[in-house]
Amino acid sequence: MNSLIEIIFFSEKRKAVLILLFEKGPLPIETIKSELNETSVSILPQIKVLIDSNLVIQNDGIYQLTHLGETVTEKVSPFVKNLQVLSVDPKFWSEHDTGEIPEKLFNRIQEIGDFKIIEIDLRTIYYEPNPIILEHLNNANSIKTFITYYAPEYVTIYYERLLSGAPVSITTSDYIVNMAKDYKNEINNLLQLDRAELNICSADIKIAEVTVTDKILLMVLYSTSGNLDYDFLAAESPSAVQWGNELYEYLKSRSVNKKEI
Amino acid sequence: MKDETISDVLFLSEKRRQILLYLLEGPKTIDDIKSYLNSKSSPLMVQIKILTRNFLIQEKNGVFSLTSLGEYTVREMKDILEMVTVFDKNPEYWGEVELEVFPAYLLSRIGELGEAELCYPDKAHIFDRARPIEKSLKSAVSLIEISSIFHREYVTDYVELAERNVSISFIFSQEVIDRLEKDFPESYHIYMKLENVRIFICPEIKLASCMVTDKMISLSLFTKKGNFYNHDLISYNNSAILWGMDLFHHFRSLSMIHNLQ
Repeated sequence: MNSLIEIIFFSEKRKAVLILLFEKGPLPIETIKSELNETSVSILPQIKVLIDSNLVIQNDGIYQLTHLGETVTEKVSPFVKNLQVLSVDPKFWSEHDTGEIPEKLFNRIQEIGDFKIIEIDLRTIYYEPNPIILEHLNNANSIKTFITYYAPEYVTIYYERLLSGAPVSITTSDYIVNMAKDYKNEINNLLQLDRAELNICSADIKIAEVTVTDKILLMVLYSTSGNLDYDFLAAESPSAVQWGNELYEYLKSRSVNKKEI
Repeated sequence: MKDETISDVLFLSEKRRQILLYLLEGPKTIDDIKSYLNSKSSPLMVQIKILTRNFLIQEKNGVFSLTSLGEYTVREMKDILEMVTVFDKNPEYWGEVELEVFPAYLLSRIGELGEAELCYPDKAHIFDRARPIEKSLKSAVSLIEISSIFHREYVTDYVELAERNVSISFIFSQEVIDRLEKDFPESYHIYMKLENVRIFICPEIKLASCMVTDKMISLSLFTKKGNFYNHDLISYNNSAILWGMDLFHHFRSLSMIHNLQ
């Protein structure tokens, strides 16, 4: 008998059948065919291989995973789906440090779905917000930002969003807060607002920025060599926003809430 | 190659897999890799090129290491390979037995059983425990037995161990306790009076038996149809013993301590 590695990974169709049955539960052949866009002739031989390998059983025309099939697919499915997301831009994921993202969350990286990389014109940093990022922030009904680098060009837009009624939560380092001490009174006035929140993180977390609005996840990672290239990862699916919220909550949990600076 | 997916790169070549798993230990020079794989430069370089092209490994000053993407990918691949190795070693067995006995988190870690070997007794010993178990018991320092079937050894070898002050924990079904008490009162009372023996009753044990000592683990499972034939799946790996301890804790949490009525 062949190795399960060959059974599962040497055929895209077999892999797809396993993942489909894992996600949807027992299915009749008609549904398997239509979900995977296959015909009986193209898919049945592969299902037979899965049955012969004890991964799938068929009862009264309904196909389902065996306990063995479920055990293996439970491990394989998230891996395959994560790889699909990582494969969108393998160069990006190979060059950026993801070590600070908790393993539990990184193992669900599939949830960010399709994403784009927004490259920032390095000549404009400190002076002008990037127009695409600016638009995302302007469209936001709520903003949560974890940030560990100095980005004065975005202060105005956060200020405007806060005044126009959007809840704004910022989590940042002592270092950045110290840089803002010149505006101590203004900041403390803003922090009187219920919808304004400031958290200070003293842990040295190697993530440059995580911004989650009600519509988008924006993330800036350090490169593996420790440099900052200001590449924004942008993902807009609801599951990406949910994933981003969980990452933000994790970063917030490592921080202390401040009512004034 | 246009259609080269990361999962193809990982699983279609044994050599690439070996290189990746080796690099999971840490950065290596080309000479390290050559001698580890016992391979000449040129065929190796072909695979290294493919791995580099797919952003899984990187080279700096003659030292190869996994990229950030590679770290995640190889860690997950290793986890899948370990599980599949256990199933591949005895595919008919794993296809036939009832896996529902294990909680999902332990099933997901079944790869920790490692080099598990399936032992069947010869006809003259068809009702006895496998020979490796007999041998291993002689030097056991501690013993755990989770069981819903009655092994003859419970009133022979195990009694000797108990009297030799080996620390023993039994998790039995009510039926096994009843049989022990009724048919072998002498052994039963020895167990009950010894301080180094603890007996727990578990309302539901769906495996036939499982023995964990400080040196080995042995599993006997029922088939999906509920049948039993005498066998022992044996592993001496440290990780397997730890897995067995966790299985004990799982059943222990479902059990009541058994006291003299």
